[in-house]
This record gives sequence, C-alpha cells and structure tokens, in this order.
Amino acid sequence: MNQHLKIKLGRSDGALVRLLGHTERRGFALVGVSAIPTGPMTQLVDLKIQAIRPIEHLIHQLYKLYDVQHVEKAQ
Amino acid sequence: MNRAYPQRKPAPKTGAQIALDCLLAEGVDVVFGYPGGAILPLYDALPDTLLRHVLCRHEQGAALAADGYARSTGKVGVCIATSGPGVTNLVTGLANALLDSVPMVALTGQVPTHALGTDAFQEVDTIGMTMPLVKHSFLVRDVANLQGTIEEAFRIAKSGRPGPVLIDLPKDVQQAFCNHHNRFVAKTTTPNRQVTNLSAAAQLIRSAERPVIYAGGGVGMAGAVEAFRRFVQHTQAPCVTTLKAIGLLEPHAPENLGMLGMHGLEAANKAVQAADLLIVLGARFDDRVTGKLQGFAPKAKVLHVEIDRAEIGKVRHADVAVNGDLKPTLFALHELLPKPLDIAPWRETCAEEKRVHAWDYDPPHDAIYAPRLLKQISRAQGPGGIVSCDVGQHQMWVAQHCEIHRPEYHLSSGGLGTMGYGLPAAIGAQLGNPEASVINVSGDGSFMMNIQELATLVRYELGVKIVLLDNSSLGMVRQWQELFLDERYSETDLRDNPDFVQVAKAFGLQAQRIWHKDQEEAAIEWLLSTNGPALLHVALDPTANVWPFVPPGKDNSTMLKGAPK
Repeated sequence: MNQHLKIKLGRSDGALVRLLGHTERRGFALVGVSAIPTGPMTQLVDLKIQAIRPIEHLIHQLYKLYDVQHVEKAQ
Repeated sequence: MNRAYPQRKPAPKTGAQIALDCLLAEGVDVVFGYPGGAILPLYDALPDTLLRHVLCRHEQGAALAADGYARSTGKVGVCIATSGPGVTNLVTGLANALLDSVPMVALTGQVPTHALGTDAFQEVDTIGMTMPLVKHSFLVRDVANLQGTIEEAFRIAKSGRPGPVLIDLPKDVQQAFCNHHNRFVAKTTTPNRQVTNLSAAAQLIRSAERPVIYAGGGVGMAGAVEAFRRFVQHTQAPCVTTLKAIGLLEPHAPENLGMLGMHGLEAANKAVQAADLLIVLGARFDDRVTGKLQGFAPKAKVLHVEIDRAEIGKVRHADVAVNGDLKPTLFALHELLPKPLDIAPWRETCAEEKRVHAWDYDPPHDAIYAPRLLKQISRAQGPGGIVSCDVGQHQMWVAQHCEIHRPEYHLSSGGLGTMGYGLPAAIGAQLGNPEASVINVSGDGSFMMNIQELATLVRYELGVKIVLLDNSSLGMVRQWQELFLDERYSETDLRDNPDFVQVAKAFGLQAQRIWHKDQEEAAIEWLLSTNGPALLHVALDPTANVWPFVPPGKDNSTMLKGAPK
C-alpha cells in the first residue's frame, strides 16, 4: 500500500541519505522522493513509500534520526 | 580605584588540541585507539594531555575495549582510529555498540577536506559506510564547529537509548588553529511520544493471576537496577531476564527464574508460556528470546515499559504501553501496587518448576564439564567479579551457570553476537575497574579473532584471567550442523588450532592446560591467585552441546534437553 510522508529535515552532511537508507532498511520501499530547501538549516522532504508494515512503525523509527524534526502523514 | 587591565586573548589551539580538551571536559580519562596517517595530528597532541591512551593492536580491539569500558563503568567509551582501513576495522565495534545500546564516541581521522571525494590515499566514505551502524555521525569541515560537535556527540551517545556516535575529523581540521567556537544548534524537537498510562499499567498488573516480569538490558542502561530490585521485592512477581539483563537480580533471589529464550532455563520459558501478563521492562522481543513469535507467551497480555518509542509494538502488540524512563516509572508503579501481589499459587508453581529443573552438575564421565567448571570459577571469583565472554557455546554456558550479581558485571555481545568480543571487552573493563577481578571466558574459535590483544594485556600489566574452553571446533555452529543438518560438519573443525599455552606464554602470560575433572579445583585456585594476566586452557569434549535448546522456528515450549535419539 502506498503511503506519503512529509518530513522536516536538517541539512547536515548525509541527512537525506540517512533518511532514505533508514526507510529502506526498515522494510519500506521508496516509490518517490523530493527535497526542497526551506531555510539555511532545513529542508522539506516529500516521501512516497510502499508499506507492508504499519506506517506508524516507520514514523517512530524516523523520529530517532537526529536530523528529523517533524514527520506527518500526508493525504 | 579600579584599574582596567587589557585582556590577553588565549593562544589559539589546533583542532587536535581542542578535540582532546573536549574529551577531558566530558570526564573522559581513558581512550582506546590505534594511530595512522590521517589521525596523526591528534596523536601528536596526545602526549601533552592528561588523557590515558591505550594502544590496542587492532582497531576492532580498540572499539570493543571501549565497549567493555562503557558497559562496566556506565561512562561513555571512546575509541580512535585513522581513516580508510582504520575505520573499516572499527566498524564491527560500532555495530556491536549500536545493537546493544552502548554509549560510545568514535573519533576517526579523514583525508583533508580539499581531498574528500578524490579517492585519496586511505580515503573511504566513513559517514556513508557507518551510517546504519551508529546512533548519529558528524563530519567536521570547520574547526570552529569542533567543540560544539564533540559536546553534542557525548550528549547523543548518553541520552535516551544510548548508542555509538562517530565524529569524522579531516586532517586539516585537526591541524587548523581556532580561537572562536561556533554555537552548536542542537536538536530541540521532542520525539513523538505516546502518553504514559501508569494507572492502566497498575490495573493490568493487579488483575493478573500469572504475571511474569520480562526484563531486558534497558533496565541496567537506565541506571534502574535498585529501582527494579525494589519493584520485584515489592510485588514478588516471578522474573525472567534476557542475556543482557542477567545480574539484575541476585542469582538466588526467589523471584529469579533465570534467562529465557533459545538457551534459556526451563523454569523461565515455562513461566512465560503460561503467563497471563508479561511485564516487559527495557526489552524488545528479540528473536532469540521469543523463538517462533506467534507461539511466544500465547496467553499473555503485554505491558511494555520502554524508553525507545519505536520498540513499542514493533514486534508484539502492547496492551498497555508506558513510553518513558524506567527508573521513575518503576518507582511510580511501586506506589500503585499492593505488597505483594495476590498471586501466591502462581509463585509456588514457578518455584516448584525452578526446583524440578535445577541443573545437574554431576554428569557420569571424567571429562571436564564446562557448566560445573564455570559455576565453580564464578563462585571462587566472588560477587564483585566481572565476566566477559565471546560468542558461541561458552557464551551460553556463562549465561546459564555463572553467578552474576550486577548486569554491568556480565559483558556479552548480545545483539550482534561478535566473536572476538570477550578479550578486548575484558581489557576495557579492567581499565575501568582496576580493583575488580575480571575473567574472560572464551572459546577456541572466538579467541583467535582478537588474539593480538594479549599484547595489550601484557603491555599495560592488566590482571585479566582467561578461561579458554577449547573443543577444537566452532562448537555452536557444529551443534546446529549435528542437530539440523544431518551431521554435515562443514568447516567447523578446528583441530589444527595452535598450542594456546605456548602462544599465551609467547605473549608473556602465564598459562596452564587441564583436561580432567580432577584438575579443576587446583586450576581455579592457580588461575585466581596468579599475579598478572594468565590463561587457563581447558580441553573439552568436542561433542559437548548446550542444553536446553529451543530449535529455530519453534516456540519456547519446545525445548530439547539432549540430542534426539
């Protein structure tokens, strides 16, 4: 089932790669991604994923990443 | 009259000096490492500090020694390596710390910033390579950010669920002078935590007829051992522990049913399978604990108390979840519960199972029986002793038979299962606890994986005692081959091992070999009374197996107690 997350992410070295790698490693396939800078220190990541596990599991995992500031499910 | 004196600016320091100053400011007294080209400026500054550097003989040894130091002291372990192969060698130690939630900071050298991405000599993408194996990592490109980064790294390593943090230091950043420090913008957002529900938790416990406390490594990591013991004494609920939680209760505490899981004690697994409530404290339903998940504690509701929100409901649904720090949670629950819980028949059932399934230490043969030997060594070592072990059959025998009195006294690679962990971990533990008796129990396969660290033992005159259980094979793998792969012993025969007594002596240790049960008592006395490092080489029956054993894919009610006839 496809899911859509909007993530406010810091812009430090490797932040986006870390986010994508963590998403895949936790068993969620990447379907689409875009990242737009929203300031000198932040970016907004739009993540489309295919999930066979509850999306809440991934959200809790993503909050453990240091650069992740906010995660919300998009419609 | 006030006289104004011109303020003298402090002399600028190099990045290397700043990094070492920061370590001292964080309370670090000992670091483990191995020098090399890209980390040379840091090593050049090292002799001018009060830091004690322990030169291990391989970066993996340094990382695992830092791990053993951290687990046994509760402080952050620090390891240092150079770029390229230095970092690739460090990787196993980082993964080990991540999977067992050990607070660690790794400082790694890197090629200069202008050479990043050019395939320079000894350049690897350290941040990319270690990303899944650390709690977080930083590449410092500007020396003005160094101090804030190191302070933040220590905060991350210790906070919440602890873990390793890596700081990659390009050589020019170590060499650059700096007299101002950028303010570090730390992460300020709060994780999306579920509201804790203590009254619902207490109600669930009060209504249970057969509750079992299932405690994991998180209890010790939270500094909640005393709170946990008071909670158990108050409720008098039967308790099982994971590998990492051994020592939470005194070995002979009436509530202590022992370790659960694949090689768990029968009384522990039976209690969990019959329970109507699991009180899960700082544990994560690891597959070595649960066996076949669908059959794990099939009649039980779950109360899960855990600081890491991502662990709640990850594997097993929690009927009530308390997402928070264990220590205040246990104190709060304690106040809400009667003393003891009204479960006398269940307590008696568990106690009876414990009596019925007590170990038999007197097998009908004259060979050395590892469980008996370890029991005797552990009793001779005394309650303040620290035991580190490697991975394999001997690791399970240690978990089953050594009498461990605190969780920080049992150093075992639980999540990653790192063969070669035991000796460097013992080195770290001995340096962190100079007055303690430290024993490393190893196997012949594991011991060869970091045998070079014998040189570190001797160099620093550390009195670690090694018990090398030698069955001339990769025993645990061989056991699986025997039981599940039609006795096809593919690449597990180690009969060509070196003469370990001679090897130990060549490194400068004292060493002895035993092979008969009549030699056990004298050998233990010799080992523990020897000054300095010593090795006891124990020849075991190569066909000896670890029992009980829940076969892979089965639930914990299926416990093998011997090879099927």
